[in-house]
Amino acid sequence: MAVSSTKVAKDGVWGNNPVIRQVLGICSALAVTNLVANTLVMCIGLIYAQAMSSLTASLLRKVTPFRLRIISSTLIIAAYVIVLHSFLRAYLPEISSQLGPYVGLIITNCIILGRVEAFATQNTPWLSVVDGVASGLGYSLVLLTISIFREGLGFGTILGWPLPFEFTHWTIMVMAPGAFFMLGIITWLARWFDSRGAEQGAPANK
Amino acid sequence: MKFFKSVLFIFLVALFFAGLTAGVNQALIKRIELNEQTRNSRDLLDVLGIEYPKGADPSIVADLQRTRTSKAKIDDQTVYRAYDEKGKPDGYAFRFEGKGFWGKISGLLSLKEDLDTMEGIIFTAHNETPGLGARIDEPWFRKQFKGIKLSNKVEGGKYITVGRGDAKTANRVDAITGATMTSSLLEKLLNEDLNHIAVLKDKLRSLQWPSPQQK
Repeated sequence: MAVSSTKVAKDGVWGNNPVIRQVLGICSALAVTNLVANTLVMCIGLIYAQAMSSLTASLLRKVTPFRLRIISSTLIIAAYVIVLHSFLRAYLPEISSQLGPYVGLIITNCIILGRVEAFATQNTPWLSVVDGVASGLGYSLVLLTISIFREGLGFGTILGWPLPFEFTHWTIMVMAPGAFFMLGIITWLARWFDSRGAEQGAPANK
Repeated sequence: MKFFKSVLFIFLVALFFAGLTAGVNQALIKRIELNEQTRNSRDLLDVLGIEYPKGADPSIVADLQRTRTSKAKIDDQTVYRAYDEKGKPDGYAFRFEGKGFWGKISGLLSLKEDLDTMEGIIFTAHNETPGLGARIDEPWFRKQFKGIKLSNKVEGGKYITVGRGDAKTANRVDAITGATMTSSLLEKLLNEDLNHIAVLKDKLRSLQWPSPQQK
């Protein structure tokens, strides 16, 4: 299997983007995106957890008994996320309390288990890390876009800084429905953008 | 054979990662606990209006709590007493909690020495919607409670109304736009807690308070 790391990276970020293509990680995409700062910490956490879990699963792939791969992946992911959670509580207590349960819930984020299971258990450590970071970046790309619109329209601020013009804030963007709207619009735009070239041939992603 | 290999594998993986998390926890637990303690102490000092330098060292905050406050429990109600620099009693703080929109809201509220004038309020834990109900944490909202006189009861025997009546209504604080549920639930829980505190007034006055520790 000669897959180049560039292709893996491109796929993770765009071609096979975990949120808008695979429709994974929706729970946190909806939950933590009403403030850019929280989203940023969440994304960094996810990239770290994904890269480390993919790396470990890939290193262990030849000795992992086939039937035990999910259980051992879950264990690995949980351990890295707990470590992350401890660091946040020790060094960024404010953000940690704002993110509440969502850092812990990275454990159950489908993207991580999905990439570990679908990619890391069959590829070399280096490619797995690239795939992990790329998937994490793909996730971050979508979440940050959502959060910039949600915080901007909902609060009139970005990262807490007020926007240079005044307007009536769209309160709905701060609440859960705002996240659904944004996610739907972004998914639609992304797929429309990709499908323009592919209309003649086979669908790009089947 | 295959079975034992599997058992051994999962045992080793579990051992390694349990060790890793335990190690990290061990290394950070002191810091985490200190963070929590400092946060609690700051909340208490803030609500009692005891000033400390911004970004003060945890040890300064802890010292201030030791020398300027003391704590007692009356009928399941945690009460704190504040003292001024000379050790003279100067106000009370009470823990309260009640139902919010998404979960429990808990916090501290403080009364001046007369047990009638509100000094401040602070919310220590809640799950209100960020950007809406969670704005109860913002200073402009909390500042409104300062100076409310509990003896000025308003309609329906309430102590405080959140967002009812016009700006001239006594003991009224502005509600939060877009967070009607949080505002009205907060009104309900604060009035219940203030009722509870009112019952304790006589006991509070006669209580022998442990004097705060000297430096």
